[in-house]
Amino acid sequence: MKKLMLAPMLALSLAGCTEALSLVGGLAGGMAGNPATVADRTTLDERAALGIETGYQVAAQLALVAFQTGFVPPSQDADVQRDNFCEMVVAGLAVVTDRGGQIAALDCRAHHAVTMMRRAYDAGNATSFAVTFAEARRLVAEMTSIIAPDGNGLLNIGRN
Amino acid sequence: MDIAAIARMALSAAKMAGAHLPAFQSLASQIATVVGPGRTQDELKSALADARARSDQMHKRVQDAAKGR
Repeated sequence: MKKLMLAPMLALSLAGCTEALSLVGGLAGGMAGNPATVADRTTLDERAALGIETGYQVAAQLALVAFQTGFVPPSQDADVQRDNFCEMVVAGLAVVTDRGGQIAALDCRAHHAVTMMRRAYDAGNATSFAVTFAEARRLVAEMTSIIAPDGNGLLNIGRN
Repeated sequence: MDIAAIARMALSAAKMAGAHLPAFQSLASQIATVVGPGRTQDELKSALADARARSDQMHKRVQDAAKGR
């Protein structure tokens, strides 16, 4: 099953993203052309999935630092306070107006994408794994870029 | 704002940053697992299971923080 996932994984463009995800991309690129590492290819899906999980955690940790240091105040939006906020975000029904709400909504979308990738991995579906991997990677990168879009780190969070 | 208030804010910020260090150290270790050579598939699957649980915890914490909890 894992070998089936390999081809679409390698076909993915892995350029330009968070540092952790770039590491995974570099790994995949290097393995594609090196016969000596053929034996390691069976672990590529695990490494890719682990890279996404790690990338998400980096983005989430940065968001936590932003909230806990006061760079971004908690959201005042009513929808954010709802228990089903993330379901609303995924369904496109949530309304967010402040910076805290925007970060929370992006976290919902990123975590949802990671969850979809997990399901595809568990199901052994190569096609949907490739698609959900790409989507999760995109959203994790977007979440990180909101926090550090130009290398100035948390100082960018409070700007609108 | 006087000097003492600024110093208190700086100290508070330093403590806050320090509180996050273990989390970033854990992430660094996780990245090393991703890129490190010689990991078996079983080892990676085990690391992946742990990472999933941590991601879910982080998601909950971010949502709680956004809600001001």
